[in-house]
Amino acid sequence: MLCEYMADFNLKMIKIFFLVVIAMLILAMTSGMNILRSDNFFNWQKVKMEANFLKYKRALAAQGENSGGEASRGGLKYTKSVPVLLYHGIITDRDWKEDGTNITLDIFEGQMLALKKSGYHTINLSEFSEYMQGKRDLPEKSILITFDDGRKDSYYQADPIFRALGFNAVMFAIVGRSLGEKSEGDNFYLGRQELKDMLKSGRWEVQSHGDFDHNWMPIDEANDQGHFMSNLLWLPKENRVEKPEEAKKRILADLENSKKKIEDELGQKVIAFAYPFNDYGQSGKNFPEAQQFLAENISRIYPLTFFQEEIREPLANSPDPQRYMIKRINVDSGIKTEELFDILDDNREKALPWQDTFWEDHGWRVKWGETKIWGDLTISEKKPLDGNMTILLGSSRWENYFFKSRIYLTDGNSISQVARYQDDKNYARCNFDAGEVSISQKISGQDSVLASKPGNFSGISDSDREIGAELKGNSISCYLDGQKEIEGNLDSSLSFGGVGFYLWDDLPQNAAARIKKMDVAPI
Amino acid sequence: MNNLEAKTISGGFQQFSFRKVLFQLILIFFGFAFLFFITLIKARGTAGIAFEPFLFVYTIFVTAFQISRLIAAMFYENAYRGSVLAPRAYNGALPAKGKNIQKKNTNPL
Amino acid sequence: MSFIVPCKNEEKVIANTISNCFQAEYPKEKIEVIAVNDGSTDRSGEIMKSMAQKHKNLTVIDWENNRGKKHAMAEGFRRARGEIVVQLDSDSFIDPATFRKIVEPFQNPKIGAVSAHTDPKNADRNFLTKMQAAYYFMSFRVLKAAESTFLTVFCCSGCASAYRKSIVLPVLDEWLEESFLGHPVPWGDDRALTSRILKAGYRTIYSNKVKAETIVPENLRQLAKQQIRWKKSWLVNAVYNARFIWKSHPFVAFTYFFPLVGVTYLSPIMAGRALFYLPIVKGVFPYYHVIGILLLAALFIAYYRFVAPENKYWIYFFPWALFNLFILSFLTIYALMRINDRGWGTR
Repeated sequence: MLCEYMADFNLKMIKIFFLVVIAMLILAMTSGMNILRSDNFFNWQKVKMEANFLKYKRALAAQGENSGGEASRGGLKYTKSVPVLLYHGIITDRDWKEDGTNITLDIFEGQMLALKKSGYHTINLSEFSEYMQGKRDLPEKSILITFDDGRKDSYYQADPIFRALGFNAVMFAIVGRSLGEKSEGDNFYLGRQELKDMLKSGRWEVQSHGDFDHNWMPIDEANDQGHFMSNLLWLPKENRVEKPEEAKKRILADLENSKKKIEDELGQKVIAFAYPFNDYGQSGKNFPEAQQFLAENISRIYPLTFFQEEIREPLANSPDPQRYMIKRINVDSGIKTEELFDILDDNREKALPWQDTFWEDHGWRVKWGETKIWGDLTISEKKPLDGNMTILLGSSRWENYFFKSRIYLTDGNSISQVARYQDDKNYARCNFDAGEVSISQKISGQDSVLASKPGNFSGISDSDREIGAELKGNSISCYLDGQKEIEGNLDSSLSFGGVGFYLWDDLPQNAAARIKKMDVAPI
Repeated sequence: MNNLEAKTISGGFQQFSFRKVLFQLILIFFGFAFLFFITLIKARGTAGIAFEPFLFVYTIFVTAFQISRLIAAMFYENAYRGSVLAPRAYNGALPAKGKNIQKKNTNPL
Repeated sequence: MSFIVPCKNEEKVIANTISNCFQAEYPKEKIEVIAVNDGSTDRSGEIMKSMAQKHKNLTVIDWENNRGKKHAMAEGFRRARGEIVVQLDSDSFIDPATFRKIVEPFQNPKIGAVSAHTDPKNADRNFLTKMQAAYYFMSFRVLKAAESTFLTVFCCSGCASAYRKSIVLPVLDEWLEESFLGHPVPWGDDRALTSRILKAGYRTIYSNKVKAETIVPENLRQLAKQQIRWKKSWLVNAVYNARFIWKSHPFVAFTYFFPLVGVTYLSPIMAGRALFYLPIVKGVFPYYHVIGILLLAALFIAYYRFVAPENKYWIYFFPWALFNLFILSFLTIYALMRINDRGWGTR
């Protein structure tokens, strides 16, 4: 009978079977978790996106539908400028530290909902293009949203939100990482199929962020790295640095290839390019002609090229058929929703007539120096001989106006009014100083004095004075206490622009001035 | 003692009750499925489980352990019949084949 | 075959318990009952003595002062005439019809102790007792059965278990003098005795064929005190077992016992992390931890339903699992910290 040693045999069998089952279990669990973590991003993502979409829809409904938005402010029906937002990746990891590029889902979600609630609506690229060419008017609070790099986390996180809010956006994909040989995509970048799905949804457009343009390449023998688009590259096979002609050919080829690949593989017309690393030739290390070369050639291939403008500059884009450099606002985790709205509000074109008593900040930007808004606009130098430049955002489309302000010089002997300000390399100034009144202009960074009138204006720092600037066509006139002192002619490129203040003194102490009120009247 | 018991005791372990084994296998299968789901849920719950290897190991360890108890429980009846009711439990040494094995009365009472 | 029934202040039920013993399906002359009146202040003693008139096989040991359950049982073991001794709580009953099955395994000389299957008699009282009914069933038919598969049940429940007298007698003194960190241990006698039987080289099993019933705490306070007692005794017993188990039963030691100790003390920490750290520090509600626990519970309940479809308390295992997560797991740590408080808590 087997029964006798069946007892132990059974126990052994049981033990073995037990161990085998548990081992299989642990194996299944570990490999299961690994699979879930890495691949199969795809199928799982679709489900998550649906779930998120429903969540956002509910959140929106809970906040109350807001079709009209806040009534148009300032009585403008059509917008005078369109801001463009730039996002990169949308992060959901709780342990992530801010990196100045990406944004967390919480903040992004908050910003999108706030935009919707405030009455903003997104436009697409062709609408933007027509608007910039002056062929189309866009309603107030139009905004263009863009993403760079073609990252999976941008699309997967943003799309459900866009779907719920009725928004759309432009994705600048790195062709070299999302199409062509790499069209399968990977864990990080979108692949061809995903880009196609994005286009199909109608909420996304795909444009170019370069093919190899987004790479760091060796630029000399020592293997120093530089941007593809703004440097002469090292050719290892020929053991030399490339010649400028070769670099130009290479850059053009890349620009054209990336456009072609998108048009061929995705069937999408490409009219826009976003500069990788925000380098439009100015950040090169060994190729100084790069910026000029790109400026001359890129608009042939891409009618619109997008770059990130500094927050302190005017950020919105106004119609200008000649303009191909489109300003974008880089929105990262450091810019909270309130700050974003401040930026958008400040940059919205202000209508003339306009006045300011400085109880609130209506969009003054300090370019350099120190400025305080506290009932007065007090501008001062941080250190002697540093100067101060403060400009008003939202005024860059003003053309003909009379700009006057009441000032008091607390320290120092001079002050200037800035007029026809387009950016910090293109503006005009009426300068008032104890020894003279003068007009100067800066064109593409080059300063020149247009007119000057020496005289004894030493009383200028004793009490409140009124200074003014009259801009009419090409002619600029400077007024002191209501009297016209000098007049001059501006370069034709400064046919429009905004206002600001400028201070510089050659005293060994910090100069400062208080502007008590100002107003700008249209002519 | 019902027929089923009699059959399984006298017939040796060749004749497990197949129905019960089948049910138990189905249960084990669902166990795996549940398990997968459980670890999925737990993995999703801690975003980026790569950053928490301890939690990863702990979850697998505890889940495997608890399920091992369940599996051990499934063998209870077999173990009872095989190891307890067997007339003589060896310390582990199997007797030589076919020698001096006496038929013992397995009926306790 | 002898029954030992230690009793302290159980006048309401002791008579029933004793007469129930005599009703077991076993040759009447072979049944002996030893009832120990452990310093009762109520009428338990008188009831026992009066019953001794009716049953000549009933021996009453009467102590004026309370000496503790352990001593009562030890005395019972010493005086018992039968080879197999059944230990009962004063409020437990063994179903007479199934009684015979508890003797059955002792045919196998390796078997040292058998635990009966115990269910709460007062299961239907309230929500708390129903939860305990589910817990008892799971704890016996699944968890103890799992231990029994490898013939190493770690606790033959004091409510209703049978022991082989000849192997208990040699360990009695050591058992009585059990101490931990310099103080005697007043709880967990059943666990301690089972451990010593295992250490002596015998096997301990569970029999789901023998049905017994006991009374469970009906309110939260008593339940908490009972659980704290149990957790303290678990800790003391675990330390004792750890010393010998890896030598005498290595398979069970490394695949079950040591992992069990690890899980027992890790899960309160993980529960703390899930219920406090995550919501407070990270602002995350521990959905996944809770769902994970409920899913595991569901798996166990599936088996529960499979083996006992007629047991209607299965659904209460879900709330028990949550009760375990939110409250009992922290009691484990509390018990650990208060290990030197050797009180009994009120009954």
